[in-house]
Amino acid sequence: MNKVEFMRQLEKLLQNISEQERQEALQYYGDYFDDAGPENEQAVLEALGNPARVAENIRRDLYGAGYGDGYEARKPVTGRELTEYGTFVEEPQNQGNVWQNQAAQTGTAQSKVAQGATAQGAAAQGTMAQGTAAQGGAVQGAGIQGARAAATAGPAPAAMAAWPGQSIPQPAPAWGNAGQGAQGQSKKAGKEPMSGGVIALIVILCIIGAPVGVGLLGGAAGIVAGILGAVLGLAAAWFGMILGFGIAALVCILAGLFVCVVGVVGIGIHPLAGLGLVGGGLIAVSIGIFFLMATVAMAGVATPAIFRGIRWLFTRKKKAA
Amino acid sequence: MVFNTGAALLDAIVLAVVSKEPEGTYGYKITQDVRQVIDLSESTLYPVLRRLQKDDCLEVYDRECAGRNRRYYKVTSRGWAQLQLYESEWRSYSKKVTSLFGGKG
Repeated sequence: MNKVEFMRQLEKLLQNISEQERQEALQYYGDYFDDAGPENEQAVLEALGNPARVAENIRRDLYGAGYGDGYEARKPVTGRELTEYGTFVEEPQNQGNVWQNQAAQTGTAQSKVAQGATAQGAAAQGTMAQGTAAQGGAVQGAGIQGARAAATAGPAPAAMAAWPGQSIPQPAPAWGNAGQGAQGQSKKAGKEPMSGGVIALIVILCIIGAPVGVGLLGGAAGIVAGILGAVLGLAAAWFGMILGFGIAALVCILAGLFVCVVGVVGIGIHPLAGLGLVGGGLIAVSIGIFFLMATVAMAGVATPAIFRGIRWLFTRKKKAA
Repeated sequence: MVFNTGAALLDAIVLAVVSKEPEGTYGYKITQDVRQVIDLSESTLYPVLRRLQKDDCLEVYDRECAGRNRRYYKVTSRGWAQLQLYESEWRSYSKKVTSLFGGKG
């Protein structure tokens, strides 16, 4: 491929536009070669790449899609296409149905592409395509950087298809290895310990009823405090829960005892109701004691253990570093 | 470069490059000059020039050079107006972005 051949192919590819437009374009590219000078002819050929691509850029502009199409239509990067200036256009095997070909090739390439296909495609590239491929790589790089948030970068067709005239049977578009988009690893905040248990306890409290209602409020306060604490930090949540448990325990025991006393007094008046009250009061007291135990366990046993665990984590990190 | 150059910005850059030469300049040189600023594939410039020419922002003339006619591009009065619009738009745009980034640069 040299300048003359390039120009001849370009002219042939531009048959379907008006004579004036064709002459303008040919004038421009003729000038381009002349101004680059014979010593740069190969470099220019490589930079321009496939004449079909050059022709496609010209036609695309003329037929209303506008070059703006190639620039601004940024497709979602999840698609396996990279729209960028210097849009990649597959080599039309049959000049009549450029668009269909393009679509078909893109489709099949997508399904067929395997990891090994890169090497195959690279082998299929002529020497001229190398410059293009390199350029594609650069553009693609930019695309990946832009798409970092989307995490999956669409591989760009880095290889141009075979040149017309040369008989390479099936131009296999090689997909440049897109590399890996930065994957935002968001560490989730650790689960609140015992929150499930707390909820279960609250449900039980609800079932048991009135005497422990205040205790329930205490527990709810603990949860609210726990949630607030989670915003500030897990430690605060932990202590909020301990506090809530403590309040719940205190309220349960006090309310239970009060109901018991009322019940004992009431036995004289209405024995059955009095006994019921005493029973309910005792249940409330037992729940209060359970909360008290939980509070003691959390505050006195688990908390120091957690601190030890955290200290252990830090010393381990230090060792690793 | 991680940022995309949209059509309007590309028009603005090309107009600015051509406007630097009062006598006009030619395709190869415009490409080289634009490439000093942004990464641009070599086959992209022609459609841009053609479009600007159709929009009466650029005019062309041929001048004899080393035994052949070379096509020159020159900014028209309409092109100058357009360039000024682009420049003021760019200033306000880049100012906002810069101030958002903390006013450095």
